[in-house]
Amino acid sequence: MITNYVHEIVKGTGSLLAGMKVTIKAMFSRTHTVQWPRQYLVLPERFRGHIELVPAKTTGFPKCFACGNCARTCPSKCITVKGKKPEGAKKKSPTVFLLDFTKCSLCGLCVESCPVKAITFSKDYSLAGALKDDFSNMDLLSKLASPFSSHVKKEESDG
Amino acid sequence: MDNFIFKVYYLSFAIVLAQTAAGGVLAVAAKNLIHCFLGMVVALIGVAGLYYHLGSPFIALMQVMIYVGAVCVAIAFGLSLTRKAGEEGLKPLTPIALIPVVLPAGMLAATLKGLSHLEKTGIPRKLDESAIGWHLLGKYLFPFEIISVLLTMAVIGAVSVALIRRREQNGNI
Amino acid sequence: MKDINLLHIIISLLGIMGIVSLNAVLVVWLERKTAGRMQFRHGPMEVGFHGILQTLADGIKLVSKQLVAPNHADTALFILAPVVSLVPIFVAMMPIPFSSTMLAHETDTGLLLVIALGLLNTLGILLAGWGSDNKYGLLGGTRAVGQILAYKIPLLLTVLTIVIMAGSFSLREIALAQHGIWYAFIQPIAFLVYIVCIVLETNRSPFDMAEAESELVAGFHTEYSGMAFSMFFLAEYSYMFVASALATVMFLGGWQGPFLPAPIWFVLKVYFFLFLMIWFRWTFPRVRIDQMLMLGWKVLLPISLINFLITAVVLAL
Repeated sequence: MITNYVHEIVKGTGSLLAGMKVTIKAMFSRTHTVQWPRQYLVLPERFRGHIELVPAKTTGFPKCFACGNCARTCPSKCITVKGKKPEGAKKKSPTVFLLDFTKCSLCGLCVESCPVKAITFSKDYSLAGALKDDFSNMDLLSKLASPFSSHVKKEESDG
Repeated sequence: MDNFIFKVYYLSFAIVLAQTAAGGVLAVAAKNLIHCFLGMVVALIGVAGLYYHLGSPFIALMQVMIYVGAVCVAIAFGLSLTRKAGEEGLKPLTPIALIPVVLPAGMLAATLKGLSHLEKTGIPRKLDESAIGWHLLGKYLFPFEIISVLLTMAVIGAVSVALIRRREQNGNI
Repeated sequence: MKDINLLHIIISLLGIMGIVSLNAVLVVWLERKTAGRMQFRHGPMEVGFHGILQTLADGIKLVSKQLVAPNHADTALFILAPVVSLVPIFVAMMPIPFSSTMLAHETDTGLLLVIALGLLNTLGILLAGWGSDNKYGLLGGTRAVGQILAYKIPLLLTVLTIVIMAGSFSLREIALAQHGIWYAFIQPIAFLVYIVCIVLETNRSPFDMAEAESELVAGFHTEYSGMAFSMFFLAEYSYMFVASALATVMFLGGWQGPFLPAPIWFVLKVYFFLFLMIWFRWTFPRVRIDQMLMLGWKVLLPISLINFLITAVVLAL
């Protein structure tokens, strides 16, 4: 009975010390977080952020030819694509590519359905915005070069 | 300079005296139970201050430690187990209420009379604490032991009362 | 009574105020930093060098905020409670010796003074809990009172063990008595019991029953905001400092050490204990109140009692 009592105390103290060893080790190991607005984490290859358009390697224009497959496949109807042929080109090119990220569930069907692999997941995880419009009308074309001159693009999105 | 020290001494003694009296009044007259409790704490700390002014910081600290630290906390523990009671205020006085007035007053008078032949000094001298220990374990060993036996009996009594009640609740275990 | 020196008292009080506020700033920073690192985070980084001024910024924010008393609160108690909690600190700090001469008030009964005034913290917590007319506050206050009953006796027995070894209640004498070897090595059991007791005394995790966030919102200071809240905060960290200073004096030889000046050794040792308490907080989960009572009455009390008896017998022989 008395040996049990002592044994319990010694065992308990031992387990407390084991716990303290874990935390002190953690204290002197590398931190897993970074100072966010100034530093960014390197994300793994298969990170699934919001979708983005892939530029063609040669021109830097979007690979997308505005077939609309993605918009039709999307279960949440959150992609809007409009396109037309630039002068002297064979294929169409998108003039409007809007993502309503407030509806998007990141299912990835658009990425799979794209015939030319023009859509991919971005690694952009720093999505802060002050307006709802920043997310409900994400203009995916704005990051890429455009085969159209700027006034054409503006005309299209207005119309 | 000496005069200044006397003034400070008398002033702080007066403050402590007023604190003790105010605490006592609050303890008796307050309508809210927790205010009574607070009054008691204030009065007991005041008494500790009186001990300090009378030249025995040791007794003063013991007063704070035992009465404020232990007794009051135990009372507070009891208070917190009550319902939000004690707001019914004072009950009308009965003749029995005279007993706690007359008895301590008589004791105080007797003590003062017994001490009246001693000479008076301005500011009390600080006493040597170790004398308390030597006296408790020498000249006053018997009363000291009697008190400790009394306390032991109280503790055993409390434990047995608690055990009996628990036994009644749990059947005959 | 003859040694009243006004200048000495004023300088000491100013020094104590400085220690109280500076210590709170440093320890809160240390705590947040340690917590961060133990959870693989950085902790505060923005204000000042590695966030060292973060606490100051938080303090300024707190002071500028309004103190709102609940409708049915007992306003007098509500205002009084943080004062009751903080003020005894200034007296309890007086006999702490930062070196053999650097102390505010030399007294034969320094140890008793610190321990007796340390008890008033619980009173402040109880009044706060009762005065704020909040069930969480009341529960927190009640728990604090239940806690004090469980740990105070082992704590006093441990202290008494050290007192009979040093033969004095004076903190200076106790520290000087360890000139050869620290009491931590002679009395390892008392040392361990005391460490557990100071964690209990300062209401810190794993024994922070009085403010258990996951059960009682914030316990006794649920209703407090602004300056009153920061006073509780100051009080908590100052009690940690006082308890650690007591541990330093009783077990680690006080200010004594080679090479460095005495006050620096003292502060280093105190901060060792403070770090230990922070380390406990971010390692151990909170215990239940019945487990805490079991620990107090069934483990700490018998151990400290037996340790005390053995010490007394050995000293008598």
